[in-house]
Amino acid sequence: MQDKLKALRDQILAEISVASDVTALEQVEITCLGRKSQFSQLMKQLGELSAVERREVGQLANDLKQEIQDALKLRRSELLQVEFKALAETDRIDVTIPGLRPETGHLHLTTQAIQDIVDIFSRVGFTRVRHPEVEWDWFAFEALNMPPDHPARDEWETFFIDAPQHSKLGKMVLTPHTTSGSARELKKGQLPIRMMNISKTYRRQIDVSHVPMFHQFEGLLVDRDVSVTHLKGILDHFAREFFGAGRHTRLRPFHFRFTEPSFEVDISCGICSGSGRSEDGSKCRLCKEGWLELGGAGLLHPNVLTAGGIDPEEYSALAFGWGVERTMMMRSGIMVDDIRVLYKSDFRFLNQF
Amino acid sequence: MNILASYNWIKEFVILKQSPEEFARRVSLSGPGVERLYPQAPPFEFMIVGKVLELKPHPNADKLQIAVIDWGTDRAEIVCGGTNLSVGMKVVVALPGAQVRWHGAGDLITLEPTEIRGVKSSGMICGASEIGLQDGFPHAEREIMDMSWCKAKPGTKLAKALDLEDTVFDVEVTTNRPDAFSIVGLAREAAVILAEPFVWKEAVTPLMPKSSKPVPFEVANHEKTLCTRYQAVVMDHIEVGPSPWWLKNRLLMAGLRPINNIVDITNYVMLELGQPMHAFDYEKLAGGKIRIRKAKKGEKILLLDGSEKILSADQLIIADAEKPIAVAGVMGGEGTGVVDQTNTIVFEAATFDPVSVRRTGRSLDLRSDSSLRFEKGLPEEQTQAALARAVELCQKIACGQMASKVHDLRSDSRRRVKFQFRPDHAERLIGVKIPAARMVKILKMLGFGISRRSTIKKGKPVFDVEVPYWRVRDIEGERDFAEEIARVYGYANLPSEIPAGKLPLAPMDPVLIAEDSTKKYLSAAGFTELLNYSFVSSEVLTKAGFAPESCLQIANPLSTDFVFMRPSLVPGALAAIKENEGLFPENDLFEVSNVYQRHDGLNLPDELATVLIASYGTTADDRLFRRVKGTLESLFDDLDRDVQLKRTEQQNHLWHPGRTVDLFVGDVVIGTLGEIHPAILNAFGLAGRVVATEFDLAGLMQSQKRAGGYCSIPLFPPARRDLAIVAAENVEYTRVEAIIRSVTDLLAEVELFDVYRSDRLGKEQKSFAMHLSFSHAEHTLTNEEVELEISRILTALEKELGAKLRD
Repeated sequence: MQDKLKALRDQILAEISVASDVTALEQVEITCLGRKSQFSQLMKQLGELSAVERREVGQLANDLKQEIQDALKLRRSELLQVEFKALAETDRIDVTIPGLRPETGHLHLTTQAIQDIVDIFSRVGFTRVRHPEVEWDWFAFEALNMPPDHPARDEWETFFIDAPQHSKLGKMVLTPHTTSGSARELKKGQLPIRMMNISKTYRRQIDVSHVPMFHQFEGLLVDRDVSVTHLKGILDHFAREFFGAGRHTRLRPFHFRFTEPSFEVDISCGICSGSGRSEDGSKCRLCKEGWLELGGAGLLHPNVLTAGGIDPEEYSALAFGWGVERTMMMRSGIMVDDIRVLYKSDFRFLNQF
Repeated sequence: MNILASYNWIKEFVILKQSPEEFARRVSLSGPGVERLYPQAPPFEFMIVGKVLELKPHPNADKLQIAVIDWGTDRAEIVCGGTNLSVGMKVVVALPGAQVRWHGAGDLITLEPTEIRGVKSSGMICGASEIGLQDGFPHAEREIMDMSWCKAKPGTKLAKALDLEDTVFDVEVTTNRPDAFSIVGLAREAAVILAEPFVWKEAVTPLMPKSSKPVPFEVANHEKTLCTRYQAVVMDHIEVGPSPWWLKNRLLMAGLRPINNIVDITNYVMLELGQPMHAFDYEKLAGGKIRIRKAKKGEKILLLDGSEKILSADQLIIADAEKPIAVAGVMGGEGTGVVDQTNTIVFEAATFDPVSVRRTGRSLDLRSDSSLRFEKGLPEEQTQAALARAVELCQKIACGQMASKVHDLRSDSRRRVKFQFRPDHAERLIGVKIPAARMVKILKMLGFGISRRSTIKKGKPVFDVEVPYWRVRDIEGERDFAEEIARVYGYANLPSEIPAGKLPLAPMDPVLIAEDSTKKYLSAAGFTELLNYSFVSSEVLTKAGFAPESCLQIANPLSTDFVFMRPSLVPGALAAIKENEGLFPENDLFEVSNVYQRHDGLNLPDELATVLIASYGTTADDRLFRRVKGTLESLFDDLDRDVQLKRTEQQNHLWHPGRTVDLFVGDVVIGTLGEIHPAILNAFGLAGRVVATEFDLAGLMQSQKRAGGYCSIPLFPPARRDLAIVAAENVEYTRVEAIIRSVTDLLAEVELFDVYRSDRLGKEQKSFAMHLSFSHAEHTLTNEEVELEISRILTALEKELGAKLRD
């Protein structure tokens, strides 16, 4: 009996060692250790032995079984190693085939910029509001310290609505800037104010660099002791967040009717890194001497605060604003040679963003 | 507004040692913005002044000569074909390395030592057009540039000899600062910003010599408010001719073309002082008279630019006794312009009303350097200095002599403008501590007059500050002083701080939030966002069946495409689909924008945030409809709103009567979903089909948020069955589902997964196939229990709809 078991062991181990793959090995396991196997047959004969022999042979059989199982395990892992090593050939797909994408649409370039701007200013406490696009002259001009003979109020700069004139508020216009919204915000009389207004605005101009409808962004902060240093802080925050850490801003004196002091905000050029020169030494194609104009800013003119019912001796206010389209193009480096394409609803354009 | 300013010219009035780059950087940060720098010398590198010592014939060519040139350190032989070459003449010699344009045409060529017809030539004697100076030195063909007028010694660099070792700045001056829109103005700014001495002295008008006899000349001002000052003087013995190079050079650098010495003087003074001037030919003035008056309606004038204009009665002109001779502040007349034969002239320096000049220029479609300046508003005080400077230059370069007194018609006397100045207020606005003495010093340097002693109010000093005449229009109050101080102090020197302070508690408008999430949702769902103009044409409105007369109309539209404010996003979307249909036969799109609803009377229109979603393609079945409907339903889920879709009862021109539902929030219709009516598609020339939905976002967001809730996860597994029934074609699915739900309490979910039509089902029949899912809260359902529910369902469907189980 013991000899038979040993012979069987040798035979099984030999079969295990020649099994050529995992499937063959599994077959060996079934035929050698399964219910109908020779091994099982021998085990059944165990009962015919004496108690002493039974213990001895039983012990041997268990040891042999363990030995075979170890051999199976070892062989199995050897065979798997081989199989895994060959996977690159045996189980290969064409990985260059295009992916199956979920159906995707496109957000308009302008919308993408607006979402970013809103996020950035929300973080410093500004709440987005909306004010009329079709507006009274009073809010669009008069309340903003723009005298009646100001050029912007002439027919060739502003769109007028065919509607009767209001005795106090004047003509109905399409607002040429989001600053009219600031005039309305002041009138609400809830202080302090931190608001941002992003809206369609309108000017009577159409050519490769102008569209008659565009989007403007405006931020307004009214509080006690608001100063130029705060304006710098807010604009630097925006520049870092919107354009990236390496970009910086500068304020240059400028002139707007509704702010005093007024600034033009420049941002260092991303193409030439603010040097004003391209790599070959020629002038940078995008900027002026290393700087790009971002927009306008300033402290609200006391007359504007007064028109809004706020005492300029007690409160001061900072405001800033610029064209959304331009800002977006400055960041992405998208050089749209004709800006009118933005609002032509051509899928060949829209699908790119 | 931009001015091209020569650095050398600026340096005549302020003592500076800064490099042009340093000047540009520092001035830009505190004053006018220097946008570009144009160094002038580089094109003239390797060019020097030479003197012709001797001329020898060329052995091999009749039209060429060999010139022996003295170039300072040495002499050399140069082959030259210039027809005007003579011994003793000073010429421009280009050496190897210089860049020239052969005969003034073609590309720039870099010179190399060369041999011409067998004779070595050490360089090239240049014509003006070959080195880009033809505007300053006009010449005949094959003539070389005669430099004999120039005092420079042979060997001097050409750029130095011609005062071209200079940089031209392109400077943007803001429209409120016409005083800085001049060389002297820029010098004044630079002096303050760079803290260097400003040395400009106002010219003084000479008196007419007693010996000369005045010519008859009269000036009458009939428009004292539109022309607030008019100064004029007659000069005779004029020799009209080309200006000297220094004057031409400065005009050229400023982008102006030299004409003749008199016209050039007026331009030179304008650039230097910012005061436009004009010169009339005295002999062509009828009656020796100048009248400032409004034009008579229909009066004509032929202008210096060659155009003839018909004037209207609100336009200010300068006239002689008979006719208009200039459009005031805009442009002079051709008939009285200064020409070579002119002997006697009238110089004009005047102040015209800015608005009148702007409107006149606009309506005549004329812009000039003069009108650009007048439009911004100029002070009456500066005419004096300009006229004096012109007289001085005229005497110097055109041999002119004063032939009249200076006529000076001024409507009112000088206004003195004063404001109080409180240093502590300025400091709060700027945000840093600046000593009061420093502030006062800055204002003084800018020309402001400061009361020597301050008064004290509430323990703080208060100064009286008088505004200099050249700033009277832009300085409007105390606040302006803070700006002047802050910019000279330097914005770059201020710290950058995020403001502290109370944050206002302002909740964001839910409609704005919904707009944002709708856009994100739809773009992620495969729809492409359009942004169309808010304006729409009458034609597009009419095609879409809207009545233009009910829409908000623009009084001064740019073109017929932009006349009405759109009442709906649909017309624009259809027009866009039409434009794209060729390349994109099917697509999904959306727009979220305002539409405008007109109110009569004195009310602004309603601006309604509106969502449009559309799919178009060529299929005639219900796929497009289901695509838009499904998107809409899941969007409403996303926004957490309950909206009911009900078949439209009222006919509407825009929507297909068999394929349209209204969107209800409670009893209120907030929009429509459906296929666009074929008649509208026809009008737009669309071949395929369009399914769209348009709804009012504010209306949606006004509804209650959907009631939330949570169902615990069932403890027992559901039993699933598929059921296919056959029903008549006119049976609608909603009805089927409602009946199923009404007869069983164990149904957890029902999902339609197929609608099938076939001849085998019979005519006008269709099959709905559904997944049903049953469950019980307390035990696992047995097969018998489920079968019982199915048979109840089938009985009810047969009874209510005549529907049968599909075989």
